[in-house]
Amino acid sequence: MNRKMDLMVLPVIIGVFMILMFSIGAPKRQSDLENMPSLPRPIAKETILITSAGQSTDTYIVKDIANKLMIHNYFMPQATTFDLDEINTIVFVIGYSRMSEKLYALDYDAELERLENLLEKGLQQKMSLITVYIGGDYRYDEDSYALLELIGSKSDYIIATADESSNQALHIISKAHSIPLTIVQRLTDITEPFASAFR
Amino acid sequence: MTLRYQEIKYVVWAIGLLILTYLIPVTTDFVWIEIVAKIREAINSGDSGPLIMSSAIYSIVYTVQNVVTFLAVFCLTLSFNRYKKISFLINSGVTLISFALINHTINTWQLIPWESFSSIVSAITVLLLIKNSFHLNNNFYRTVVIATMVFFAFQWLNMMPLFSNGQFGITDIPVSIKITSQYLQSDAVLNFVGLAFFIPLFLSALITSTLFVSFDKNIAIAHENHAKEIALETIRATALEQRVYLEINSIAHDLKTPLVTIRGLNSLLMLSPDQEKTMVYSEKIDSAVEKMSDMISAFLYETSKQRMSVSDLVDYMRAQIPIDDDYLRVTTEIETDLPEIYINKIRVSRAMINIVENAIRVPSLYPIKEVDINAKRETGYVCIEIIDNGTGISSEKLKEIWNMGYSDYNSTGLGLFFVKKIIEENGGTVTIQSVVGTGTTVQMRFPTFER
Repeated sequence: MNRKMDLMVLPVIIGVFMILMFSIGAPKRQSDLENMPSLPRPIAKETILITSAGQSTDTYIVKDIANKLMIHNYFMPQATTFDLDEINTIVFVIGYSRMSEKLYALDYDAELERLENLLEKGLQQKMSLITVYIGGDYRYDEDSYALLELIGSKSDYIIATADESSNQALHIISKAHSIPLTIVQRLTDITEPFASAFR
Repeated sequence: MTLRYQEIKYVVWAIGLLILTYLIPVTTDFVWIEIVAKIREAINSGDSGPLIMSSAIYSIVYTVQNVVTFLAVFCLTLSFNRYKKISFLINSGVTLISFALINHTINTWQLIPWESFSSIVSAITVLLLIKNSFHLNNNFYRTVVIATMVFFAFQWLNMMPLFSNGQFGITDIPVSIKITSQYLQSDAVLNFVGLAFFIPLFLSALITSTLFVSFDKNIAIAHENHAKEIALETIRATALEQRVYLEINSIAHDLKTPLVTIRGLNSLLMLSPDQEKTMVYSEKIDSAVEKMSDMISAFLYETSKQRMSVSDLVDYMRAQIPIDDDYLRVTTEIETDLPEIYINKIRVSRAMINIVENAIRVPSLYPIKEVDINAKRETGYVCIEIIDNGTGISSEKLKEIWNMGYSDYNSTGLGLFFVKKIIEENGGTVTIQSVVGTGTTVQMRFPTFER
């Protein structure tokens, strides 16, 4: 009986630790895509509107960075075209969150429509559009990619954190639409390129 | 009938848990809002404390949801297993598939992200840990304990940035927590907290399951021992009944002696015309009847004691034992002027007969079997020894001879258990010494009448 127990416990321990080992895996691969560390000159003006594209909590991080940089901003994750008065730049923080869809009773199509309207009005009013994507491969799914393509392709500047799959897509978008792209290795490094867009 | 009750019980449990499984996502919106609020608070304050809190809240909700789902499926397979025994492998497969399907429907229906990898790994781990007790009736509560520990342990891996490259923590909330942790440069804190929960919980689950298995083993042994004990008791009781029956036969045989006397004298009475002789015979008949009456009283009433000399006791006892064997020599040596003792003559003599019969019955390595009955004075006591030159008793058997029902050489007496009981009832003690190959000495000590 004891021997049976030993035989059973051992595979459990080995199995669990093998899973953990595979999960730890290799460190993140550094992107080999060309990217600029920051913009050589500002492309956008304050006041900025920080809004979410996908309603992830990543938007709060960008708002916090903007506040620390003392950039005059309005933080409206669900901003509509009516919120664009006095706004010179729209910062879209991309990252689709299913949980937010549930919590705020939102619909993906409605979110797309809201963003399209914002883009349209922003372009009409010649506002600067900045795309920030800090979700990396974590948030890189079909829905987030669609948002990246929609907004990124019409942006003036894209800032993202380094990650394999999402960076490839960003590079394609950047190249196809000649949009400056900055990819940072660590999330905390985003401050510099973000500031360079304004100062 | 019990089996039917168990089946129904598990089906009812399964239905209840399934309802709960679908109710939890509907009623926990406020928890998710709280988690998002904590993440926002962590970003605004730059403090990783709220982030750890949000991880803990998420872990608890996740654990409750998964444990309830797992148990619902587990109950269904248990009830089915009681209806028809199926292998653990098939049971596990059905459990895992059903578990995944239910979680998938909740994920689709209620938009609750499901950490499929960690959930499946947790479920497999739980199944492996309960494998040995799967077919037991009481394994439901054990599964609750182990499943709670395992799911809670693995949930913390979802929160650890260390496992970001694997399949752990890929849904919305864990991702938000990990991105925020990266921003707050709190990866090390989150990794530490995750491991601090995972390692002890996982080890606890392993140890608990091992303890459950040991407990089952001990219970099985205890049941087995109990069954053996009952069987042994039954055998002893049967043997005892047989011995008592034989003893009664023996006593009845003893009672025949005065009856023969009565019959003989009575026949003489019928023939004798002499009135004087008739009186003598009548007195003898009366004496015999009284003797028989005393014997019966002594046999019936344990407390019926009398003052008597040791030589009378030994003579009475010897008269009951037929000794007509050329290879047997029984000698008696009684010290002169021994003090009287106060005993139940019939019962004590029966006890002594039992010991002497044992001494006679036991085989001997010598050509002549010798049994010595000695009586001597000790301070305040009279010691009666019965010594034989038999093969002796081993030290292992000596420990058991006083047990009720112990028997050797197919003895038909009351056994040493009753010998001891009778002697102790009469204020005495009995001891036995034996050397294998040399012989055995039984010593009975009775307090003197004065004492």
